[in-house]
Amino acid sequence: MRKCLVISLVVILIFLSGCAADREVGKKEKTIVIGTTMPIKAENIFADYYFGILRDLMMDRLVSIGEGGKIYPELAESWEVTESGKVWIFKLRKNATFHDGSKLTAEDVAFTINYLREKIPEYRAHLALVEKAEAVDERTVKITLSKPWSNFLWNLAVMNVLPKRVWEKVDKPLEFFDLNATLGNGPFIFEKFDKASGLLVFKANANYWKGKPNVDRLIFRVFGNDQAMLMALLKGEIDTIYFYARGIDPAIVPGLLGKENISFIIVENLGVDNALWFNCKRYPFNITEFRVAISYALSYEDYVKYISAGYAEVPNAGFVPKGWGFYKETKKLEKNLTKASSILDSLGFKDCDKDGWRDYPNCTALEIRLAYRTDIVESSRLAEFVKSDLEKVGLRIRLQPLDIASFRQVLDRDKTHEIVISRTTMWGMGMWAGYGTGYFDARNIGWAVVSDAEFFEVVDALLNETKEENRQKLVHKLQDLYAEKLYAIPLYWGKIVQPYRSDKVESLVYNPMMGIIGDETWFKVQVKK
Amino acid sequence: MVQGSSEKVTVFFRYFLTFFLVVTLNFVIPRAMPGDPVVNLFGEEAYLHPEILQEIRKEFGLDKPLIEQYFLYIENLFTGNFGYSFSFHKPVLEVISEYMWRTILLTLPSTVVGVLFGVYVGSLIAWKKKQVEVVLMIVVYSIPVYWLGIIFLYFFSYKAGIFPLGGAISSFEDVNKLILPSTTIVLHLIAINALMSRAIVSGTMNESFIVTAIAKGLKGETVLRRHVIRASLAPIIAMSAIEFGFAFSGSILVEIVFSYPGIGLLIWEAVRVRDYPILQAIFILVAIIVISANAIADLISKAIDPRLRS
Amino acid sequence: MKVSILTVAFFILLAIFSDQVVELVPLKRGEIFSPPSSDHLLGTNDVGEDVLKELIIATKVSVVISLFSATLSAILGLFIGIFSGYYRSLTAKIFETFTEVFLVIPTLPLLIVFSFHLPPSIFNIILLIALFSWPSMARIVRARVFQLRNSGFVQSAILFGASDFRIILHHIIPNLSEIFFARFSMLVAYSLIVESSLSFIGLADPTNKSWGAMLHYALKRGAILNDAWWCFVPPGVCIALLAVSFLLLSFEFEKVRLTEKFSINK
Repeated sequence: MRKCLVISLVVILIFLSGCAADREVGKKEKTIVIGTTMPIKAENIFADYYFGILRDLMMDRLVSIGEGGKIYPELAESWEVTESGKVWIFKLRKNATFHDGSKLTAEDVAFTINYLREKIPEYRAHLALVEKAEAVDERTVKITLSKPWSNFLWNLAVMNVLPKRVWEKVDKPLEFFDLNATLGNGPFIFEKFDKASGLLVFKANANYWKGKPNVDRLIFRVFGNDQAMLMALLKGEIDTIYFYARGIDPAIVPGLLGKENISFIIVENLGVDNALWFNCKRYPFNITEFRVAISYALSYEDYVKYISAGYAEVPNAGFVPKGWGFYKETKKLEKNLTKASSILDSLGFKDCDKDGWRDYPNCTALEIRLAYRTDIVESSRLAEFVKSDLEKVGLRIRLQPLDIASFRQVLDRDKTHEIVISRTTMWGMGMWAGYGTGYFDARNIGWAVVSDAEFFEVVDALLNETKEENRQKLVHKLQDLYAEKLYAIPLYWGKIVQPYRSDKVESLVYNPMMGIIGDETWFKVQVKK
Repeated sequence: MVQGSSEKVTVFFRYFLTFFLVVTLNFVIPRAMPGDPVVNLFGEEAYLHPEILQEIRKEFGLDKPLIEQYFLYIENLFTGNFGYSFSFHKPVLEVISEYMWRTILLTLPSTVVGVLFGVYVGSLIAWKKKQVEVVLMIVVYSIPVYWLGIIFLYFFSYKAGIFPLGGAISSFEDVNKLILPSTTIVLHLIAINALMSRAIVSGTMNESFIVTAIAKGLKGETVLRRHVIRASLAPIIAMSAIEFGFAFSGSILVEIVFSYPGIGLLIWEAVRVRDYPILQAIFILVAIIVISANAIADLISKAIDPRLRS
Repeated sequence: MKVSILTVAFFILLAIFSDQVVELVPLKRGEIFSPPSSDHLLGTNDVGEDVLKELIIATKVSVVISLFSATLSAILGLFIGIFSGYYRSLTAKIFETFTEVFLVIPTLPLLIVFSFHLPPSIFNIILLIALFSWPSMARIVRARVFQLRNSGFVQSAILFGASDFRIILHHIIPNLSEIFFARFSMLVAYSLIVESSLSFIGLADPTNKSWGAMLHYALKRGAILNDAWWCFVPPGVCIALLAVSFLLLSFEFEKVRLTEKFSINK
């Protein structure tokens, strides 16, 4: 048969090439290879968001974020803020030098702030309240704000210090693709980005002020999807994986359990994996009882079991996840269909026309649009669950799948959404006045479009308050308010599952904001090869 | 029959219309899509400062009226200026050429193999009037390419642990990354081409002059074969030329399944982030390639088959 | 032939009675990715849903979309084909050109771009697929109509002063049935595969999941890494099976046409 010939030829072709030898691994150097599905495209921290995620490897910040969302000193040894809350003075540490050996000074810090404010749109928002930044002496930076802002350090924690001497000549930072664009003082020095094979290579900075990292060479390998990446992990081609502010899809975890040499770091996520956001400006979502009724219709335990494969827990009404400092225990969310129905009945949302669906009190048909992001597959699945839950109490739901671009337009700009499933990141939780306020407040990103006087009062007080004990009281009050008003309902508090090869690396540390690529890892990690 | 120049004009008009249609669709569709390209660049915080967004729009020429944008677009097209990609922060041509050679590496050899084998198998089936083989080809053709890809992934990459995944290729050793996606494409192309060339060849065999030849008692297999081959050659070559035209854009599904960073994946990514310039440039290239493939097909057909020269 | 008719009939009946059939399958969720067992004959998927149940529900979606979009594009193609084949006006010429143009435009990338734009619903997907698949029908119908128009019996009908409408209705359309049905079967298979591809890359109507959408979730949520072949093998087999059946039907029709052509030429 000639066709047999065709087929056998194809088969031979397959095997011939399958046998190609594996690539040799570095000799005595301690190397960690990290797989990532972040679509890194260009080696410019401002132009490429995902390359920007890696900037902490190359450049330090004044302060960093650690356990429980606390702020820790990094380049700034210490700082003080004046009584008015407007003037911040930072004292830099002595021994920080850029990769080229030059000293990192207050000049560089002041320059960075002013430069970013002028050139990079994102930072114009982050640093909006900065009036001026100046170097007082070689190690002292003075930053003046236009109004008091207790949470200023949170935004400084995403601002990495640039060498003035390099960037002062750069007029268009988004188009600056020079190796110098990666020059900083951080634990690693960027070597190259091999786009064809998707490899980003960093080497350890022996002169880092915290000491030399335990790893000589750090390689990121970019994959197109989780599946390809995890197969590479199973085969031992990569040592661990990384994605900003998340682990792997929990549904994949059962398939990795019990596999040889695969271990996991499992930590609580300080961001809220998935929450149901109401547009509190729109009727009927502006009615607190309506939102409460919905909260009783949702089957949280199913979400934990089926969406996150058990790697989550049923959340509290207070929204803010357990791991945060100043966390307050609020009421656990529960499913209670009778309560949900009776509240809806008492609000007048009854089935007037007997078509099986509840209507508005004036008897016009009610259909709620439930928007969600299609690029996060867990959210798409969750939307199906929420839809069927709400339909059980007679609320008709129309799913509104949005890709990321439409999602941002609808939620961030137009605010035409009704209810939405969306996630928050750990850093995002700390924006604005912290504790998720940025996502709620109509004056900020405000997915929930909250403009209650009560809420504003707490937020404004928090923005002005710098004393810890007072802040704690306010944060508790805020969580009570979240629990009572339910501007948004957390659907589950997830865990981050971070798999790694236990035969190759040990003692990775998970930083709540940066994950395993925070500085903590580089001084604890053991490379076993 | 009217011939010569008017025929040429029609053909030219057809190519022109195709090109114009693609070019215009190309402009309209991305702009009609919901979602603001600018917001994708700078995250949600940028929304807090509308004046920043305005500034960026201006920089990318997105603030101008649509008509003006259209003429600018046409003008740029003819001057070969495909613009600047706002998600890659690079000139569009630079981005595309980076992805294109990877797609070519994947699809060109596969298309050559797939078309040749397909035509061979198809003609054989037609010649011998085989039935089982036709069914087999129909079965292969019916299996969705992406599903075939998934099955390959499962058996070869996951179960057997051969053929690495992810990323494109940088050195000769990495060629084995191409095996699974190429095999998927080849199998699919064999089936399509076999079915199409079978149809052509058996069509020829039923044509009156062959039938007459048989009736006349012309039995020599070689003679018959020569007649059939000569008559079928033109449409088969035309078909193959068109197949090559699709090689550039036809591997989207395979690239998505195997996460192979070629043009297909680039289209997908560009749609997601609303990178108009990239999308536009790709579609124009696709149009040019497809149209040239068709033109070549026409030319070859006419050169080979005197009947078509009318 | 018989087998393919039976398969097609089976799937269409399953689609019609899917609501009743689905009652026979356990509706309760199980553990996620549990393998086939007596409780779940085809196992469960990433959210603990019974795969067999999903498969039955999806049958309806896939069959409805492929049949309707094929019908729509077949009718569109038929009209355009008859018009541009029968008449020799400039408009007919333009229609012909449009057909040729549409044939060379690469469909999938455009479909993807369009699908991103339109809110996903069964209706929109049917329209989109039909919009891009009519030209093959139009071309083949045109060629046949052109041939028929020049044939003896149509010419004599014209001589006898029959109206165009009458000729088309009585002499042209009856002679198109084989190629129409052959092409129609092919269009169904084509629509099925195109729909499943769009759903597979995540552009489906989320409330009506087709076989392709099942594959989307299987691949996205790690069915391969969970060794859960039961999540991605059955939907693919269904697609292939139904497509093969329709193509074989088309093939049978075509055989009729070829012999018929043979006899005419004689």
